[in-house]
Amino acid sequence: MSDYNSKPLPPARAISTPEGWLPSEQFDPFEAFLGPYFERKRDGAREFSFLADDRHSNAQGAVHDGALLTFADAALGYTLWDATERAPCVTVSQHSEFIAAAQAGDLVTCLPALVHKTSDVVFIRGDFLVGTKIIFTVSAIWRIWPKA
Amino acid sequence: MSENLEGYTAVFAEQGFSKYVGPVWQSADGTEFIFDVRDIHLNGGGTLHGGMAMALADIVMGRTVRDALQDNKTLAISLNCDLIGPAKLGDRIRGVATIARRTRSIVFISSELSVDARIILTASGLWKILGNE
Repeated sequence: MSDYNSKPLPPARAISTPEGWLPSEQFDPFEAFLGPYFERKRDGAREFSFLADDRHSNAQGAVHDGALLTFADAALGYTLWDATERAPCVTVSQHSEFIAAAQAGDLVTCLPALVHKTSDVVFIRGDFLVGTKIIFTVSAIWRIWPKA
Repeated sequence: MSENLEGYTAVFAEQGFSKYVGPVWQSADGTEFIFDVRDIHLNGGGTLHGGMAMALADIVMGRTVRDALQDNKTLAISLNCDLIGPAKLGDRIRGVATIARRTRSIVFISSELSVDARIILTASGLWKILGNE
């Protein structure tokens, strides 16, 4: 865990950054493969987004569950890092509910909420929106190894 | 990465996410799925990304549900994943899924992903059956 990649990776596809957002630094190859992801400051925390395209779609043309699950893991992980000075961490459990479909061209946003943090476990959740409509929600438990 | 796997067919491989991250292979009898971990699937720690692990469970269960309900469209509404252990570059993941119950509107299903004899993820989910409202 101590040799986690600390060098930002270029996204697999160059996507124009939506107005008001900045590209997030990506450290996980799989997130860069599906990225870029974006972020902006909101209420003192980081809000995240990604612009759905053909790489993220399912057979019906809607955004694939897997693209949402990966973006969720990234957004919750960033928030957890912000709260733990980038402590090594892994997802242990995640409950996900798919409420409505998103489409290619939609900007999916999430402002994750850290619910509770102990010495080794973090409870964290996130609602995912397209505009003001909720499409997806997750609650997760992560294991952390805080730095001494 | 195998371009072909004898006795297996790539699922949902026509376009989009499943083609981009795949292939996910399904055995001829439909009961077993195989996924080889490549460098693109990793997190910064060099193990399989949690998002890809959960996506794989979603694909295994989604395909199993679709095979069982040929005449109806279905979609996941709930997915609960426990990430039990890591997978690393080059690991071959095997997935299986079991439908516990099917009502007129909902399929209850669970799945398990493993590397050799080691379970790396267990999941349960609810799939909505469309067209029976």
